[in-house]
Amino acid sequence: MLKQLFVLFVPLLFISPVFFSTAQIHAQQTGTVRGIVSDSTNGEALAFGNVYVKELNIGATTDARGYFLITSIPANKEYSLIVSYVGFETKVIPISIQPGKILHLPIQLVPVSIEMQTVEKVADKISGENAPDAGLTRITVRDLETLPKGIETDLFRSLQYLPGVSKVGDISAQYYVRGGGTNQNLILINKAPIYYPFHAFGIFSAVDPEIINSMEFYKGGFTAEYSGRLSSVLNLVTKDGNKFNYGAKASISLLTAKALAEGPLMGGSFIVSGRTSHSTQALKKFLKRDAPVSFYDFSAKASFLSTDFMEGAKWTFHLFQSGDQLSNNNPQEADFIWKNRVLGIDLFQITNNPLYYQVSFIWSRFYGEVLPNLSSTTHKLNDISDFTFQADFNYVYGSKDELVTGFKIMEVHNKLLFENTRGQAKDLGEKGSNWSVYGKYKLQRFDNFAIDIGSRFNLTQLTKGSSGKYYFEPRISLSYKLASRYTLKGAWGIYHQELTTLSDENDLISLFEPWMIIPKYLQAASATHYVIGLVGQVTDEFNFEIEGYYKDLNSLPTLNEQKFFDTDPDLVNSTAEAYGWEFMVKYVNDPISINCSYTLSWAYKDVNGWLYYPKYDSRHSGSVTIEYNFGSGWRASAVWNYSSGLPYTQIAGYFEKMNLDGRANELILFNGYNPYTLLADKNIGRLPDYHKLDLNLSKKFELGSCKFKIDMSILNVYDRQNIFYLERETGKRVNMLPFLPSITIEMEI
Amino acid sequence: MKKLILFSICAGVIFFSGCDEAFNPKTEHDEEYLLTCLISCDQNYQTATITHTFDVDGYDPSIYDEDISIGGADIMLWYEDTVYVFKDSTLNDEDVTENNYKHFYYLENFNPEHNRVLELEATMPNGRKLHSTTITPSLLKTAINAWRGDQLVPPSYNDEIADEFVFYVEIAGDFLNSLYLPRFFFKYKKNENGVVNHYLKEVPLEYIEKENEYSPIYPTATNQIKTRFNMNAIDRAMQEISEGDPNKDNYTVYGAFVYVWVLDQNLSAYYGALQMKSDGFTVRVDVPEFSNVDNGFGIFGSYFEKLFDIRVLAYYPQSFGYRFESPEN
Repeated sequence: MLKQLFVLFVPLLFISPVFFSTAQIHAQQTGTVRGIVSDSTNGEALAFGNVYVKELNIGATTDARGYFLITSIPANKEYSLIVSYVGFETKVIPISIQPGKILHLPIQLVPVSIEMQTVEKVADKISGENAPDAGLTRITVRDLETLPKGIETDLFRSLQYLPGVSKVGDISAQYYVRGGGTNQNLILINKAPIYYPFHAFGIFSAVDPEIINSMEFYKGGFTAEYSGRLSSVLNLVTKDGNKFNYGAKASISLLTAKALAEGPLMGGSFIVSGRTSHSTQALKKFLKRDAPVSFYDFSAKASFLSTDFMEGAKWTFHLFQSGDQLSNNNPQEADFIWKNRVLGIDLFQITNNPLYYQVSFIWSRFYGEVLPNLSSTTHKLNDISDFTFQADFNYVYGSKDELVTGFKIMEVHNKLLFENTRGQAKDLGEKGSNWSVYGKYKLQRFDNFAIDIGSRFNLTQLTKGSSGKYYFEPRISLSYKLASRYTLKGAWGIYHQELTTLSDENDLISLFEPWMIIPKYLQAASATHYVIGLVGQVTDEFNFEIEGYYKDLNSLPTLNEQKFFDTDPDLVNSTAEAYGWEFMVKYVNDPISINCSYTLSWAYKDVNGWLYYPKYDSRHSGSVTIEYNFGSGWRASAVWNYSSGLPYTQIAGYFEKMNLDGRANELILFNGYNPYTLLADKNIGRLPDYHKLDLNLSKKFELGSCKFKIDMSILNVYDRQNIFYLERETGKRVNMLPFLPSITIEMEI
Repeated sequence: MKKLILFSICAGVIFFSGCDEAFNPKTEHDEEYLLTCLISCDQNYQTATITHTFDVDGYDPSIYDEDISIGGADIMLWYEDTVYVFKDSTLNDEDVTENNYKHFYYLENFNPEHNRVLELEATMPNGRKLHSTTITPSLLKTAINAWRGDQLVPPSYNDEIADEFVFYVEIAGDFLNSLYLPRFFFKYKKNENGVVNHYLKEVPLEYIEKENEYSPIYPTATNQIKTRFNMNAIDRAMQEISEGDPNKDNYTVYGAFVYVWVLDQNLSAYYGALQMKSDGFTVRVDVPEFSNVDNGFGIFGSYFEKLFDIRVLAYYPQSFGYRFESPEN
């Protein structure tokens, strides 16, 4: 293992000074421009915007903080820096580059007024950009706003429209990425993991999109800075709040009421947002029964720009909290509690040379409890906390190459109290720490070729079954420009996961999916991703993406369905395999935008030598999204979604099973026979195809100093009877969402 | 363009709204065989059944009215160094039925000891062999003990009536994967028009009251050493003996007992699988079945029963207006 460490990191140590020295020489003839692009009305960072030097046709994309850096600009010359962001007026800034100097520019863009506003399209990459980012999709909240809403805008439901992301029904906001389970998705809010970011048993996302500034979503092939999950990374960055003016916003939907306040604070800004459920009537549509669930979520963030203490430093304090309670008010039914709490402190520092770094302290906790009362359910409790200290350093060379390195120390404490059906309680909780370092080099000096190569190295493991094993997670992402408008992309990587959930694959909706460190009788789960793709910009209006993937998953902990004895393990090892092709075509020509996607995919799982299709395996899926901006604040969209039938286990007949229920007031235990369903091989059948059309119409307008937004949606316009599951006992077909109109009103002061 | 989009959406709605495919959630039925055999360590008469799976039109299996039992099989049981052969009711007792099955198998004069291996093999008329093994359950070491009170009804603790009656056992041997089911009964008799009939009244752990309706919660099998019967439930059960009858004097309580079924590991697992119930919101599509029968499925298990007398203090039933009779009389 030490040999592997040596092989990977020692060359990096040698290479780095070479690049440094080259950079120093190079820097004498060139200069650098960097800055933060923000919204002129509130100072909010504009993520994934375009910045380029007109005369040289070189540029960069702003990151989630709005930060950009362009190096190697020939010095002693005047240039025009063009900064553009869809929905904002493009800004042209004359700049003068001095040799060996960094020009720092705070850039504010002015939004296009409502009347003038045409289709807002963000997150497009710079034309001809050659970034090694296979598997990455960047989304902003503006993208979400145009999608039809179930009841209100939902972050995770919006992901289900992307190719490669599947779901098991309209009912749940949980998502499956490229054949991976829901517990293999890393969801980060300001770099902090959230363990159960859902409300109402997974029907809605617990993160209010109102507080989100940007989303980066990796469907696979993610690079070395991300760790801890096998399938995907959703990186959410919350808004900083209005830096110039105080403001407030309130809105009400059929399900929730929410409020938001923001404003300047000690040279920085703050934002506070809260949301609470006010009615369970809307939930009835989803669950087909009364659901006495109440929930809330709360988010706060304060940012300070430090000038005295550390020049160029930005301090951020953030808090996120959510809670759900299911109170049946009936002693014969169980009650449930779920809570998330995330607390974090970040320091983002831009230095006087092309180095920037971010240091974060994070505490994230999930608490879930099942209170059985006098029901047949047993008591369960899950309390998982992780404390993380991490740092990421990013050095940009004059050649445009980047060296990125960092470390992460994560301490996890978990309590998992479980009672089995016989009333025996046990604690499956454990403690553990994961110390890891990573390093990667982004070679971006060539016009046609870029590569992001690096590795994570795990020094300690959470999983006791893997203790003493120091494993590498090498990762490569590359791009090669075939022609000015066509880029070939690829990625490969090895990933490990040491936390898992006790999830029953047979549950379409599950109320309790506790987290645990993979127990010592199993190894850490691992995956290998292979991604290849082609991105093309055929014309200015028309672009496409094709991506193929293969994912091989090993040592996956899976709930032991054959656990009948206490001495049987709770989890067993399994393997999985997924592969497919994703196609996306986009046409944007003001005022219309059309987006079509199609996925052809296969997923398999092997548990104890039994190979089957997991419940989310859909062979064909796709969507067509049409957006139309009528101007004057009016906007409409239509989304048609299709997926071929999901797997299910067929009924193969019936049999009679002996009852052991006894009979009251009689000394009888063996109480005759009752018919039961005989199941066929697991998931060998397919449900009918799923499809539905959703429409959305919204209007923005101003009355005095107040801004209003009215949003009307209709889900399942033609009332397609999409089957959710079949009640085996009665043969009753339970369908997903019917024709469902909804309205949301939002007011902003 | 606007018109084209609108037209496309309308056409799509019209096209897809008429689109609804038939869906049959069933697959072809291939006949499978179930062997069910529970061996009692306390009785001399043991039975076994072999049935086949079946299918019906629709989803209501109760409409199937044909006999599913299979006769003509050879069932052999190995115990220690002896092989016991089950008799086929088809050949011997044609008028006798077991659980409405025409065919069943029985074994007379066989009751095994605790902690012994039993092996069962059934050879079907078509030559197929179903095979299983089990181990008879361990003994409960001390049947009943005091736990925060005495073993009386009503229970008392420090000279006061306790708020619960605790049935407490000590377990011997490897009981990790085994369950026992304790059930608490009052014995009473009723004079019905001069005829005295004997009855049992079962005491639940607890009653749930909802809109003046009382629902009993009975114990389920456990391997916890304590089972707690709430004193309010004991009162309520005692009251229910004569509910609605003003002639309390017709009732005589003459004792109480806890009856225990001790299940072996396989039967415990089978019982546990039967008890897996949903919380009402969880949507579970497939439920795993427990089977310990090779080349088919079913259950081969064993159990023993034990009765523990509980002393009832005379004043307690008398406080409900009943007569009391000591069981010794």
